[in-house]
Amino acid sequence: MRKVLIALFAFACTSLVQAQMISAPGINFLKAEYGHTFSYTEVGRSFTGFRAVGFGGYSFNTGEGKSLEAEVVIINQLVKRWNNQDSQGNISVGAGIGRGRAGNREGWASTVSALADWEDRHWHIMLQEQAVFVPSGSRLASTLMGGWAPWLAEYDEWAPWIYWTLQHENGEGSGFSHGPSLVLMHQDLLLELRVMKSDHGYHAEAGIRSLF
Amino acid sequence: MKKILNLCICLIGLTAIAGASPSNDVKPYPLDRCIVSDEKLGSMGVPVVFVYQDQEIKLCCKACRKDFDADPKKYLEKIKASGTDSKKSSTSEGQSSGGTVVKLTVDGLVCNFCASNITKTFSKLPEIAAVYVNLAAKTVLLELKAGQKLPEDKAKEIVTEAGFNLREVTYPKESFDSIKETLKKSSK
Repeated sequence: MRKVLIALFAFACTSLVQAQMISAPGINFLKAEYGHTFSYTEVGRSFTGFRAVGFGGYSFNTGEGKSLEAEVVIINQLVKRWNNQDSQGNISVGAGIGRGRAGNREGWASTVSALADWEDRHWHIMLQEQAVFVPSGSRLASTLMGGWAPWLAEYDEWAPWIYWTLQHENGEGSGFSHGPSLVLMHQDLLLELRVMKSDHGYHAEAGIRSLF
Repeated sequence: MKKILNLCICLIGLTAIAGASPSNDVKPYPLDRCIVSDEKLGSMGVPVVFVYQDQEIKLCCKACRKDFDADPKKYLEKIKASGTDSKKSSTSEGQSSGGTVVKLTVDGLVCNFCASNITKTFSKLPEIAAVYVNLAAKTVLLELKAGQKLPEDKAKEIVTEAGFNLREVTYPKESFDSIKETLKKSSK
């Protein structure tokens, strides 16, 4: 029972903004997103098809010019994958440790994340959690994304996706935000442009992911 | 001395007869698969073997003979087209590639990054000359370098390590480019 509670707690504490980059063995990844209240960059390498290691930098805008930041070494692990004839489902988790700061306080920082997604060639739904802990505080970003491909493209063509994103961040100056985004995929590259609406108004966000 | 002369005459005569034998003009069947069904020879029982216009033909079963007889010219051209590559790959080492083209059907192959992963994985292998992924057909098409082989169990291991499931492996006789074009057209 205790193990189940710990597992549930770990899952509840974790969440992020795009698919965790666990690729085929020996492939490097770059994943970055600039948001109104939350931005991050992750660079790493998949050593197996189920595990990736890298570096992550996370920054939460906590209002009034303040921020909560962390730079950590991250490890992502694919927990379960369902490969079906026309679809794929994934559950993965991640953790990181490094240095972080909030205001004037600096010290050890840690991150935990979890992701669950399912996709076929037309539809994609994803729930992602990302938590960042620094000496004087913590932040949790939860993201639910649903995407649809208006037409199907091949690997060497530009593949458009239209997503709707619902995001929540805890803490002062945060809350719910939602909005549409356009995602373009071409071979090893994914570009995302998003317009999010929150209590603070509309703001543009952008993301990039790449395998190399 | 007379016996030796007789023996030499007999040997020369036998050699001449053998040289004149029509069986020497028959081109051997170059594939280890049925030219009609693409089934591995022997997988449907004893192969049906016959000669058609100086070309030895091997089919997997009697049912394929009817198809062959309906359009023999088509199958002769297929044999002619695939002959060179197949001779190279029809080695005695059990699971040969059966040709320089390997076609994998992969479960879980749904998005660009999946395609990218599997393309990069196979591109790193020394025996691979070209890789083409078709998401609509869930197909990974591989062209092997000359003299190289990719046994089914190795293909399965690579696909599994990349995070996918290998459903089927076939060794088509058509060229890499022609299959690629067919897949591209069919996915439109």
